Amino acid sequence: MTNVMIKVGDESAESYIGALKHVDPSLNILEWPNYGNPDEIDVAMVWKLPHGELRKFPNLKLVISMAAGVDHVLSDPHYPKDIPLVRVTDPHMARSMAHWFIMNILQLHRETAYYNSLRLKKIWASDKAFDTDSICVGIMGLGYLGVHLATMLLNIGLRVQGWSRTSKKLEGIRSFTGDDGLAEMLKTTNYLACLLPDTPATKGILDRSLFEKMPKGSFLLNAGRGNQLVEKDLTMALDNGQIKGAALDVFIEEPLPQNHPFWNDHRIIITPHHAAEVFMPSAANAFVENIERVRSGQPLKGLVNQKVGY
Amino acid sequence: MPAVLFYSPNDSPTEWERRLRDFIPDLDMRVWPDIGDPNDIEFALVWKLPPGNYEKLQNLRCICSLGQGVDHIFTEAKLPPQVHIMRLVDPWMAQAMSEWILLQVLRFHRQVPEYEDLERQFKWKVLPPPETSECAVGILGLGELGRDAARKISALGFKVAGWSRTEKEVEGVECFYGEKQLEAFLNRTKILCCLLPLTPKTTGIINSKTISQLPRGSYIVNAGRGQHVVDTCLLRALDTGHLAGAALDVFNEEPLPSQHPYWAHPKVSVWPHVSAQSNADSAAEQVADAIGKVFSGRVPNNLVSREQQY
Repeated sequence: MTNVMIKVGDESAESYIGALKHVDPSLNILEWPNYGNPDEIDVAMVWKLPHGELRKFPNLKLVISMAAGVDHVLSDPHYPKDIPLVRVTDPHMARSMAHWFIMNILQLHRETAYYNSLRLKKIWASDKAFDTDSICVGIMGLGYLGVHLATMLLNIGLRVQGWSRTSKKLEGIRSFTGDDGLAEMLKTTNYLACLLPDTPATKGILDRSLFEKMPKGSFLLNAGRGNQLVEKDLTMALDNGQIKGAALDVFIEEPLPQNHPFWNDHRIIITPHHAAEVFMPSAANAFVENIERVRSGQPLKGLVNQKVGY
Repeated sequence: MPAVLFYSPNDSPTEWERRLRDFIPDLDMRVWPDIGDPNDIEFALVWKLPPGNYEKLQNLRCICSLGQGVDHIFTEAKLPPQVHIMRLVDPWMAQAMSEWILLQVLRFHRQVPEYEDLERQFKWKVLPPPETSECAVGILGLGELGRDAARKISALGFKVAGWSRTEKEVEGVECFYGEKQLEAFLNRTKILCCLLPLTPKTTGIINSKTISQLPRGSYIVNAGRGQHVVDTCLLRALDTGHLAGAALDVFNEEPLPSQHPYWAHPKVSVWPHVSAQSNADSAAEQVADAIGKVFSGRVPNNLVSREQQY
């Protein structure tokens, strides 16, 4: 029998446990912090588990991140590094993420905020025409989620290019790598979509100098991690017109504090870190598959390279 | 050489003349009302020409609508017989229309009106996430615009069906046709998008009966014509909660009168007819082709049936 310790967000793990049991009824799943005897825990499934907790399980064989980002695990100084860590690779989640980007690219392109404001004043202004061909999306991060987004953008007829740390080749997409490659991509990108993992190399990457490499009046969309954006640089770029609008799903402090200036900024679309929701009926299959793989000694899916941090 | 009449309250005659001259350098374009000798005119490129003017053009051989819709031509009581009626089939316009439809579908699917309310109150709250593969989108009308929208919504993972008057086939889209199958089509549809042409048969097609055939909590997106919707029926269904929301780009009267209840209705998103406009850049070539054919006594492409009025 496999004993699984689970910790989800602030809500109860009941629906998650139900979905996992539906796939494999033999699993014994215990919700943190009532996991009983720590010696008996084989697998930990976690989202934002308090630091120091993971080292309490001496016989742990696998850690599963309930999110695509694994920074919440790797930032734990007591994380037992010899234990394999996998991330969720769920097609439903990738689709949800791609939808968030597509919808917000279109909200910014079609000026939803402007038309919402006209509606309040009952003003009819049909003088604008919108040119789809003017959109060129540049994706930062061509991992599982980035590739999914690029494919969907191509399928609905938008132009796409992408940048990643290591060189990637994707059909129909110009791809770039390295610092020079990033500068090159930004020159022709007017919708920047950030899907980077949280690593020391990506902290503060979305800053003033990056914005200045894009055409004036470009748009920023971030669903990577909050600390990749230098928040005051965005406000400045919006003020001077370098950036025309933004959509943000992640923030340095979450929930976004009540007194944060972003709340009141009509140029920024704010969503509460919900761009990609884990859809358990589908994700449970991937979670259970990895549990079976670790049991039978097969290679894991979505294994994280702990040296590079994703 | 015969002359071309131009009239549109929305499009620039100088822009069109410049683009058409790329193909017909010695074009003789007359902008209404300064049309010179009406007997010179054989081709009319028009959008909503004031009534009673076609019959003055004795030598008119073809009327080309400056948009996808031709209802503004068929409302003319004295339409000369034997004159060809054609419309623009502009790929750029289909892309723009699909983009607007995608935006509305994603906004409803991802509960954006609810999130916008939360954002206005500076509230950070995640709502239960919807599952895309269970969300049924239905497209009324499978012409150039309807097919393009259906394919793209399907590419985003939605369950897409279409309804048309006559039998059609679109890959990846469940196709319903004729009056007999309309109810079954509506029964399975959660987000209904109207892209029908306006004809006597489609006028008022969104009424209390058809709305009641949609499941409770459905949405309506209209980018066809305002006359497709019986406004009182739509408002009643929104107020009883049978419909959860509507996004409208076209209205029975445009501009939408300031006292109309749609403006301030919390479940209605009013757009000032900006979903898609024809574009001289991408459409000039086919108009020039049609002018050339008509002037040399041949039949142009994209003709509209007088009987069916589309």
